[in-house]
Amino acid sequence: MQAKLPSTRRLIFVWAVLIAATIGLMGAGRVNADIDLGSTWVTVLLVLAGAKSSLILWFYLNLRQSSSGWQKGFIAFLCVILSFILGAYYLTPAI
Amino acid sequence: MKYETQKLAYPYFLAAMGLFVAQVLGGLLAGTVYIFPNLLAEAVPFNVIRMIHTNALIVWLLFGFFGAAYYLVPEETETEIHSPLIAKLQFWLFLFGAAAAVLGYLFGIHEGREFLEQPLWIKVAIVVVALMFLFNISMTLLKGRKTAVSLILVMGLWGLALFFLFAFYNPSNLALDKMFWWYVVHLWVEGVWELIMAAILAFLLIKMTGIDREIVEKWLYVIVSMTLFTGLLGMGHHYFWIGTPGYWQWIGSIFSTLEVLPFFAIVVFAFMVVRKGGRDHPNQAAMLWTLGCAVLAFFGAGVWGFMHTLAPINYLTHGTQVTAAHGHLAFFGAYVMVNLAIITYAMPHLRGMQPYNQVLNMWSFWIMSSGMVFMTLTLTAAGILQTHLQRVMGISFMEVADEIGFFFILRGLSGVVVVIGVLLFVYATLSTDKAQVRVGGMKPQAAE
Amino acid sequence: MSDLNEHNSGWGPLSSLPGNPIMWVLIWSELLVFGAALSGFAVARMLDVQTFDASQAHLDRFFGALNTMVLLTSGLCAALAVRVRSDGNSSASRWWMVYAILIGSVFLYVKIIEYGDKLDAGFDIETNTFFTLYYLITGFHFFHVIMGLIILAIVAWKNSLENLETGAAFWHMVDLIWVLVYPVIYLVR
Ligand code: HEM
Ligand code: HEM
Ligand SMILES: [Fe+2]
Repeated sequence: MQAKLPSTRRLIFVWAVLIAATIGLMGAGRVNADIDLGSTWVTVLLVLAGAKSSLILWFYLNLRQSSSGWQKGFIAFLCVILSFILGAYYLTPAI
Repeated sequence: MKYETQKLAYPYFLAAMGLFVAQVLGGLLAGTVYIFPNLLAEAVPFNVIRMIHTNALIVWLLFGFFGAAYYLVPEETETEIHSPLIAKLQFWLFLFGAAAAVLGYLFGIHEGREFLEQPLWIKVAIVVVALMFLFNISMTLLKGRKTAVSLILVMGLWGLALFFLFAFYNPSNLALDKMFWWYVVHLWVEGVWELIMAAILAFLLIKMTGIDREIVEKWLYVIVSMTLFTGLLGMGHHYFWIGTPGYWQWIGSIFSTLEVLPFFAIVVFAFMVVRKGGRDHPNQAAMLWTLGCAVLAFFGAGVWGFMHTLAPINYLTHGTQVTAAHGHLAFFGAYVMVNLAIITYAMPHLRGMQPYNQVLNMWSFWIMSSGMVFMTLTLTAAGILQTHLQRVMGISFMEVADEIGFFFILRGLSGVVVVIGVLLFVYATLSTDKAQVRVGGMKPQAAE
Repeated sequence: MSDLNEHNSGWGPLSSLPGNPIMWVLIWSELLVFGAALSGFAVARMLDVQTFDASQAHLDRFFGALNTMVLLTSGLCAALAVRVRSDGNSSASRWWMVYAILIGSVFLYVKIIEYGDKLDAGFDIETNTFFTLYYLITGFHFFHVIMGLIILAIVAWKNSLENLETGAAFWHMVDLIWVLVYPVIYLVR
């Protein structure tokens, strides 16, 4: 297989987005405060994690050049795991 | 059969079948004791019968693997076996060791560690046998063509010998004893033996479907990587309650659940290859055993294994008849059937005949398999009931044993069916079908 | 494996993925393991929120985020190494791999400090279910980072494009897993 690799510029751009998303994650997750997040912010966290993972898959791992079966498979995997975790969070009895 | 030394497999297969008969008869006897508890209690106690049953199983499977290696390695490497003399010596030494062990058991000489009951000197003899064998096979491999099939087979056989060495380490601390015991038992059946099985199945499929070796080898690599990735840490499923730290519950549950994947891959692989390559090979019976092996290994090891492999479930079922159900179908589906497949495939060649007695052999397939499946179902039912009464309701072991007695009668009956299937198999494999011999135009060759 | 086309033929669907197909078998296996572990974590938390939230408060959330950035940056270097190698620039590719390894090592450094702090504070793998899972999941990941660095070193040395793609794929998987592990274990509360 000799798939087209992303260009240098694009890789750097993706990296910048990933770092920005991580900073967003730090904000949404209140890294320096010991307070409860609440379901909205937890949803934001997990959506951000999913988005970051997809970027890694798409560009670092160059999944955008592979077959649509794999693309769907990986995305479905992420969705299942993250929604399961989110579901467990929603079902957790409040203290 | 292209190579003279492939004939070395013949005595190994004969011994395997002989011990197979002894093994199932032992099982039947043990099953009968379950129904009439005092039967032979003085002369041959249950634990000895059980020991003969399980040890004969392991030993005949090893005879089968050795035979399979001597049969397929020359063909794969395109070379004669390095030393036929070593192969013959190894055979007699192993047979002698096995006989001595059984004789000793009858007189109560054993070390009492399940599956590894052999006295020390017999264990040493087993290692010597294994070394002779590995030397012989590895030399052959080094001389000849190196295919994925032969490499993985030999890798599995080396692993088999290597992990057996843990049988010599028997610490007096019971938790440590159990911990290392599983290095042999688990890492055998859910590790290196799986490589041996995959290699033998791959060989059979290449020969019988004529499919591209390339494709088969790639599947083999995928299956082997999944096996090793999941099987090694999957050992954690035996470390739930033996005094090992609690984190094993997580490791064991997760990795052993994934152990189902390689077994599933084997099913997909086998059927894919047969669909692509066609199944009009004359040895229909061997094809049937090959596909049956893939399927029942998946059910016995994969489905019945998964059933009790998660820590919270195993907490209840540990050591009940559910375990026995799984042990039977897994050993039968995976390792018994792969041996019967290669024996069914190789015997006509070894005896210089066209495939023969196919109908009888296929009958034995159906009889034996349905017997085993039914036995598994009765044991599963007994196990679930036992779990409920004993572990959930807290009723005492002996009272529960009375409640589930009915299932043991059914198990005994299915055992009779299995024994009939086994005898039929041996007959079909060793007899001569005059009509087919004539059609084939070959004269039957005397044994050896 | 210089001839990519020959090497990757016959692998069926696996051949449309970069690098050695067996690496992708491994990647999928790893994703399943960590996916199961994180799901288990979520369920265990559901059953015992108090313990989990109280224990989580002892983690250093900032270090976790820092380590995310470390891995993402190291991942960029690895991706660039593959990129420039495919343009035929072998020595620049080596340098990018060296950067990837150096930056990746920072992860280990930070994580060791973190483990040291936790152990000093008296939290070990047997403390409670939260810490059992914390040590198992991050420890297993830590082990993969070490493996990944070794693999990167090997492919920096034997740097055919196929090898680089294979090594980088493993490294990105390690990266990806941390991206999932960090919010679930350190942040969700
Ligand atoms: C090819 C066929 C067979 C295989 C592969 C096989 C395998 C095994 C194995 C692995 C064990 C140990 C199980 C454990 O540790 O949980 C065992 C035990 C046993 N087997 Fe078999 N067996 C076979 C046939 C039979 C037959 C035909 C019977 C007849 C009823 C039988 C009856 C028993 C009994 C009663 C035990 C002892 C169970 C106990 O300790 O409670 N087996 N067998
Ligand atoms: C061909 C492969 C396999 C064979 C031959 C096999 C055989 C056995 C045997 C004989 C035992 C009983 C050991 C004893 O305590 O005496 C056992 C136990 C067990 N096996 Fe397997 N097994 C296989 C694969 C698997 C797989 C793939 C799984 C999980 C998915 C599994 C899960 C278990 C578990 C959880 C136990 C412990 C049961 C208990 O706690 O009592 N096995 N196996
Ligand atoms: Fe096991």
